[in-house]
Amino acid sequence: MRISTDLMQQLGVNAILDQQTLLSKTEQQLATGLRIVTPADDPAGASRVLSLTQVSNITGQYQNNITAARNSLNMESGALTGVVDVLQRANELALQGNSGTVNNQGRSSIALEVQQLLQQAKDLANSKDSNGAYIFAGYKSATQPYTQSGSSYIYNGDSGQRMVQISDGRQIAVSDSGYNVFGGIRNGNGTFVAAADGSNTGSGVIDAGSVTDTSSYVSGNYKVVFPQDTAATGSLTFNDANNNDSLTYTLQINGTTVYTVNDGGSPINTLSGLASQINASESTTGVHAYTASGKLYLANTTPGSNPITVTEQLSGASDGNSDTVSGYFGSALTGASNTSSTITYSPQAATSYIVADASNNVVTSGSYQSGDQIAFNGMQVSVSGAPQTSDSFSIGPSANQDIFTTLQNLADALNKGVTDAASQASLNNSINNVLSSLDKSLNNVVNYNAQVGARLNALDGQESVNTNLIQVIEQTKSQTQDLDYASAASKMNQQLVALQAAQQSFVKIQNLSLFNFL
Amino acid sequence: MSGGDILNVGTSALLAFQQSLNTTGNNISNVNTDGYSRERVNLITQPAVSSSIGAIGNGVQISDIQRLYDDLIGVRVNDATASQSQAGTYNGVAGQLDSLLGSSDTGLSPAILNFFNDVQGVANNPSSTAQRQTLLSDAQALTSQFNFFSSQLNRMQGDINGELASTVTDINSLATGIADLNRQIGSVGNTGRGGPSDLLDKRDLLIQQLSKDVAVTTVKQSDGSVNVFIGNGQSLVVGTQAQSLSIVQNHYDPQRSEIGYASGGATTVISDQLSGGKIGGLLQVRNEVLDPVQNAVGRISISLASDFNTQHKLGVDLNGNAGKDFFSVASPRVLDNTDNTGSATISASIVNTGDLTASDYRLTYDGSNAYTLTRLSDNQTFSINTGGTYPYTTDSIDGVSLNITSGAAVNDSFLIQPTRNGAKDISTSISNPAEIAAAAAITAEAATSNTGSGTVTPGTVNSPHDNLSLVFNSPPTTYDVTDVTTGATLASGLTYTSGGNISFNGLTFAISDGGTAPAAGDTFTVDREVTAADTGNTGGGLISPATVSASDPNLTDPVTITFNNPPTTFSVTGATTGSPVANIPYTDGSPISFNGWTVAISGTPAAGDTFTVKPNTTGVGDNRNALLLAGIQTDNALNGGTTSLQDAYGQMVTDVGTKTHQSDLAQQAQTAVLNQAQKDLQSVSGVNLDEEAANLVRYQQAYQAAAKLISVSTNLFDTLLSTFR
Repeated sequence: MRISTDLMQQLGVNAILDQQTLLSKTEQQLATGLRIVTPADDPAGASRVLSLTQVSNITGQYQNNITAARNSLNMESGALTGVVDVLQRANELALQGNSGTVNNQGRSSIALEVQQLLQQAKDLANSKDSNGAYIFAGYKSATQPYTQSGSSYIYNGDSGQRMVQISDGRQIAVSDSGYNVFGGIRNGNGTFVAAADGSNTGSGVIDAGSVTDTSSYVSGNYKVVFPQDTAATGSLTFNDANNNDSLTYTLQINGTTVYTVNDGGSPINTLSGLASQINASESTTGVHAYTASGKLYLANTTPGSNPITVTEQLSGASDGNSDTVSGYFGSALTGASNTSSTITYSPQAATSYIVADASNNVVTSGSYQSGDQIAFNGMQVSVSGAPQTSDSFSIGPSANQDIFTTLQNLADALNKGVTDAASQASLNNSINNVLSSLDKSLNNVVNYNAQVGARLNALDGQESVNTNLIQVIEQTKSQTQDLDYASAASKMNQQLVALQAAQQSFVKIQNLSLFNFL
Repeated sequence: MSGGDILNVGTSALLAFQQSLNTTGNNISNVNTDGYSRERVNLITQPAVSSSIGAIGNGVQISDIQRLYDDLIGVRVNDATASQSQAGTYNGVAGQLDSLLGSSDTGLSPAILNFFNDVQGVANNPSSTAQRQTLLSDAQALTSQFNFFSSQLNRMQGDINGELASTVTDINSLATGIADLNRQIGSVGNTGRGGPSDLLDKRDLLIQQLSKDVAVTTVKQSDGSVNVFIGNGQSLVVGTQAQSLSIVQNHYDPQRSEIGYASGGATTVISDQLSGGKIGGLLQVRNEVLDPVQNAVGRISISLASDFNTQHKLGVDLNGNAGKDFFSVASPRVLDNTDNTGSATISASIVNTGDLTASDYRLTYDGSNAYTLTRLSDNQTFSINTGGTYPYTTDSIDGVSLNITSGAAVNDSFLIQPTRNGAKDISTSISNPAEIAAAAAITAEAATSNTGSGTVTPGTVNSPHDNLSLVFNSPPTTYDVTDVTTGATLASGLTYTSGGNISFNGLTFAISDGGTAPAAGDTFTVDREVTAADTGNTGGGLISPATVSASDPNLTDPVTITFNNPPTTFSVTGATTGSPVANIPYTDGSPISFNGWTVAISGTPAAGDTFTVKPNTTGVGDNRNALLLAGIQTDNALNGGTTSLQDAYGQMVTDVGTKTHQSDLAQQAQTAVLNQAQKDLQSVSGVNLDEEAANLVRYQQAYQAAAKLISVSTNLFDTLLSTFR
């Protein structure tokens, strides 16, 4: 084939240009360290690098998130540990104060320390993070979570819980609502709360009690009352010898007439009938009558040292001889001389108990033995010590009580002086309640602290998973887009040799001309 | 035989070889002349004189000076030039875009990643103004990166317009040159059997240069002139007449240059018919790379901005106000055909980004209130009948709703580009860091007086991206709606009206009788904004595409959930949507949804316990919405819920990369073909100096021998003369 001189020149130049193009590409690769300089070099690879970069970048952001989450959780854990210390100390102080060996002065100095603990707990609940945001305010991080209003503590935050994304599809909580940690703690035993009436005069102390059978448990307000036994009977008989008198029987409780009946009328003939008659005037007399096991019991609606007087009277006897009435309470009244008889029930050590519901219906009753379990409606409580008659203990569903109120209750209880068995029992009752609330509070805070710890562990676990993921991705990315320097360098050498060859052969060939020999 | 004969023979040889030397010299001197075809002196014997002893030779004469050229190979060179030039032009433009996309400075990927990292930053620390400011700055960086990218694409469109114009000028001047040479060749005629080789060389060179601009076909005429045609046979040069091309505006888009061809007094657009050369490459790369990339980037931008806005508006900002639009989103571009004679105006709005495609659409009026919408990427058509009511608003078609006013004339057409301006017109709408809505719009609380152990989640705002399921009851006059994503029942026992709008979670769609009504048990689903009828349906109910609108208007109305006695059911007060609101059975932990929010109550609430859902006005530490905003990054938001933003971007980069790579390969292949054709042509027409040197020696020797012949002839004559002296 003929080759034109021009073409030969061009071919030579083209060969050099081609080699230079290849060389420049390799040079660019070596300079950037990348195999894929523009997407056209490997479109599929470039797209893979893009998505790998995204995954790596997002995972990197998750690592930042984990660091932020760890800071928040460490902060929370610190505060919670502080609260645990406060509660444990409060528990010790409550036990100290509860013992009989400490005198009033000792108790008031314990109360001072409890006040300090209360302040400490409040400060911890109102902790701020490094950005000045309250950590226990839920979403309302700019609002102080706990403020005091009179004797109660108000939660101003909300129930929000901030989450942080730590991997695709995995979020972890980095805060807890202060209400859940400090406020929403059930008092009593968690289901019901037993408390002594503040006016009790005996030394009866009630424990926290427990639910024995959840299926038969009936929630409601109950009270355990220690009533006065009476010998009352459910019958009344008029004995009018000549049937010529208009006899009237009158029953007075604490001086108030609660029942009258005339000879020839039909007197009440059951204990329950008598009791309802007495209870109809309860608001005036301040006395409630209960019937149980064939007996009538009386109790002051408010415990105290007031005696209960029962006065029976017979009136209207004109002939005076043999008109008699045997009263409900056993008084033998004769028309002639003894027209009235009064029985006075002074407070005394109780021998029986009655459990009544909110409508004063008797749920159960029995004779009182210190420390015996009183069981009813799926729950049981026990009262120990010597309750006086009319003493009562309330049992009601648990309510939410914050840690600060519990501590305040402790301080208040300790500040009440002990003068007698009753005030000692009142102290013990109060502190028992405080103790069970403290126990619940401690469990709650420890539980949250454990959750925080578990979250911190989860962060550690996820962090190492993320680290591995980033490593694998970066490795894959590097394999996809990075240059293999060894092979690139050797390629460059080859290309240099090829370029030299092209240049040298060009010069050699261009020098060859027949004209040189003419 | 005579001495004079020898002299004649010698002279003829002398002249012949002189010419041969001359031609050789001409070849040598034109060794570097473009388009020069080497020439050769063809010699034949002078007619001999017959005699009794046979024919007596009479010397040599020149038959012709031949131009060595092969027309067939010439055509091959022209074709290869056109193809190579097209591939090269294509590769040049695609390569620019390729580098733009691949670079970490100009690509969109880093900006998107930074932006979403900042969203996570705000989620980590929602009340920090510094974090919020960073997010805003990087949002502005993201939108300006989109704008920058768009401006680069527009610049490239402008460059293409410019190059088309200069190429057309070049084509016109080459056509004039060819016509002029045709005239000269015609006037010289075929004097000398070789023809006017210099003119032929010049003309063939012009045709080859023309091939660089556009592919041509040539037809050689008997008088030596050549007619040149382009496209589908449009004549560019006929004999001595040159036809000129012009740049005209696109009928829809005045910013877009097309190639015009004047015929019969009118100028028609012939862009679609042209191929090859720079023109072919420019038009092809514009259609195959620039337009699709502009649309694809626009779609990513619109999807990102619009999804972000939708979620942002479900939240509340640092001041407790409802979130505003975070980005301003581009509107679809609608262009009228300049040939339209009617007065109808079309506007378009994006109603569902999940359904958007990266295609352009053409709307044509067929008369009688009927319009045809054609998706240009695959020529799928959609029929629209306005029924004579104007202005008429269409349902969502590929996520776009059209508004048509009256007055269209038959064959009026409109070009709709839903995503073309997406990257150009995106901007960050908010400037105050406090206006970033990181918190959720609602919050749920348990009353502190509750005696049960029920707890309530802070709640979430239902998103239009939630999947819905709508099931017809028996009898199918009512239906129930469930949010599949959260598991909550949104409504039950709603009365079915064919074609009536159904709105939940900010989605609006309609179910209508398609021949027959829906049957009991028939199910319709909305999966990431994409509606579908279950394949097992027995009724004929049809579901329309969904439109994404604002969230539930009652979202922030305070609602109270109160547990009844016994606490196995609860009643809801304040809720205005959904039914029933009284005595709803309570299931531990199952979601409860009203007014566009969902909460879950778990545990054992007691009778009388209440839970409230209310506006979240002071939740400055709430990051629920920020977390959901961050989720948009990896959410499969595009192509009917199958493709994430990053996937779409990756696909686009791969597409451009592949096209660049292919055009690079094509350019290399076409260069090889061109080289081969040129080599073949050169092997016929090219000057080889060695060959010419050999010829020089050959002709010199022949010339010397001829001169010797004359000298011998002189000697002979002298000898003869001296004999008679």
